[in-house]
Amino acid sequence: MRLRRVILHRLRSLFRGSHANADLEREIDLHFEQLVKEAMASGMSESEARILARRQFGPVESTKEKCRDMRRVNLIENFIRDVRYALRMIRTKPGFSVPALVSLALGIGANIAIFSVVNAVLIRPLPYPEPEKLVGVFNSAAFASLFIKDWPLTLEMYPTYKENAQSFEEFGVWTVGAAIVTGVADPEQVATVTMTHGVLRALGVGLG
Amino acid sequence: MPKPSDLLQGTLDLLILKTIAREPLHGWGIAKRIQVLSGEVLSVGQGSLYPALHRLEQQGWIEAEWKDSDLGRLAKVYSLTRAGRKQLERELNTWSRLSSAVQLLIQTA
Repeated sequence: MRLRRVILHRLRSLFRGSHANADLEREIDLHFEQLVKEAMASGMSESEARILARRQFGPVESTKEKCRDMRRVNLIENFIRDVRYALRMIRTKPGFSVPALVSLALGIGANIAIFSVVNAVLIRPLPYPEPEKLVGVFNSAAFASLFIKDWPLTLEMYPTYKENAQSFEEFGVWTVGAAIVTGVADPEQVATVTMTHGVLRALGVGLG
Repeated sequence: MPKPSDLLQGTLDLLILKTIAREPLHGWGIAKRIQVLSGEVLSVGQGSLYPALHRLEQQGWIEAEWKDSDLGRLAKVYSLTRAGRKQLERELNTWSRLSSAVQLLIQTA
């Protein structure tokens, strides 16, 4: 309820600014006239009363300014003025604004390009069912004081992993290689992946 | 007439809310009533009254309407909103805590 009132009030202040300013003018004028009347009631002439009232009243413009500040109108109006000023400067000083715009454009473009790669490679989930369940397992070896990452997996180690890896629904190993295709045309080398049965099942695709 | 003492920060809001709690009033009326009810001790100049009124209106504690008034012409008359009534309660509590703390300090220090 209060929020609705506040929002309506602010919109009115913003879009009917001249109206609100006229309101303020009338409101303050009324106050001033009352001061004059009061002074005249105590026996002063009207001109004396006006002078006294003006002295008592203090600076009107600064009050109006403060009222506008309170309504937060100045905040928005100043912003609009700043934007206008900026646009004018961009137009009148091309020696500065063209390089600035070009470097902004290049910077933004480069960022977008890098982000689309990062997004595709790192952020977007892998195109498999339940990609959040996929994990990579790496074989490493520790000898006395030596720790070696990515130690090659021996044939004997595979059954050990397969039997003991109880945290996984499926488990498979794969390695990349190359093969040469020969036949009627020129021989050609192609990249290959050698994998155990479990890989496709772990990915949730294909042979099942 | 001695110069009226400066109002404590935040006290003006309380005075305004309390003054219009009884009946809706225009700016002039609020200033007059504060002056009269305080036995001419407090006087609120237009330079602080109107910004305060606009701030309170902005915050939704009070609302304003142009009405015929006792001044013989249309005046912007302020009244408390429901949220303003709650705010007045809070301000009164704060004030009584503050003033009793000051009182306590003056008596015992």
